[in-house]
Amino acid sequence: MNFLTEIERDSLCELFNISLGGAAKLMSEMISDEILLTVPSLKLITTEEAKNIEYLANQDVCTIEQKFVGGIGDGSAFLLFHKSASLEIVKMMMKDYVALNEVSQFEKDALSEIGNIILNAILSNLAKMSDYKIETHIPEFFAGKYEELLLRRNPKTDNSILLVFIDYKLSGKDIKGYIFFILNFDSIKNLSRVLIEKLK
Amino acid sequence: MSQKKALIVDDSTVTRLMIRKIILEKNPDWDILEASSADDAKTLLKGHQDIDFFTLDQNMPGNLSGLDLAEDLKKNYKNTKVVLITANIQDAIKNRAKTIGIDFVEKPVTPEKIIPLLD
Repeated sequence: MNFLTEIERDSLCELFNISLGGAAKLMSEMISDEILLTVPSLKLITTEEAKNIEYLANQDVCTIEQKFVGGIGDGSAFLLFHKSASLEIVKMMMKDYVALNEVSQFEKDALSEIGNIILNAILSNLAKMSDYKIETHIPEFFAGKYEELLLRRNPKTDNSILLVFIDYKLSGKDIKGYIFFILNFDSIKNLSRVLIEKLK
Repeated sequence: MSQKKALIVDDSTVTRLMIRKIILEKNPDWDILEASSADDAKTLLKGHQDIDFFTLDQNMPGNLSGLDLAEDLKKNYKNTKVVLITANIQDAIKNRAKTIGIDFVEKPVTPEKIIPLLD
């Protein structure tokens, strides 16, 4: 298994920490509620290990995937909700715009839009801090079992991937979600080196 | 005086819905047209050339981005307000928007961001 040195890990954690502050502010603005974020917990794991994450295995989830390409490497950023929470989030976002009984019609589109805004904010900050250009694709929505999500995007390879898991929680509500990134190890290492150079 | 028209170009139904509502709350008599891609917008414009206000999403399906469409529009609608709506807040996009001579709004759209542009 590939590994990061302590300083490489710290630099990446700091990068994601800063990027998430802005993302949390945007999400709060969209749903008119406070978002509480945990400190990023940075893990380098394989797809196989990712499948067995305790609080996600066997869970029904909704995700929005934002693929990106650029100097940082090619990868994907994900915003993930437990299925049970997704409609609640859409209700909060759409309350002034559609009648409550119409909210479910907009679930996929509204979640995709939230994902687009949040993940682009993080990726833009990542580009700014690393001086790399990043191009993003149109966001893709997925609903189903968490394991299927990983299988369908990376069925065979077992390369090291970066999973920066950030839990977020809505203040006063039983809604939790996660943001994570998948990048190959060389891109991760390269990104951390660039960051360390910039910090010197 | 003829009725004012706005064209909202965005692949997200939700964003179109939000912008529509924001415009109509400020200007209830405006006619609001919608397109879900730059190509659809170009087709629609063949039948509606008198547009007073455009909002264009930056990332849409198809070959043309919001900025590509904006460049095209500025040739034919020199004095019309064109606003780029983007979640991708990289400097390169902001700089190109400034060069073309259009306004830009960072998502999420809110009345506070859109209404000042309608005047």
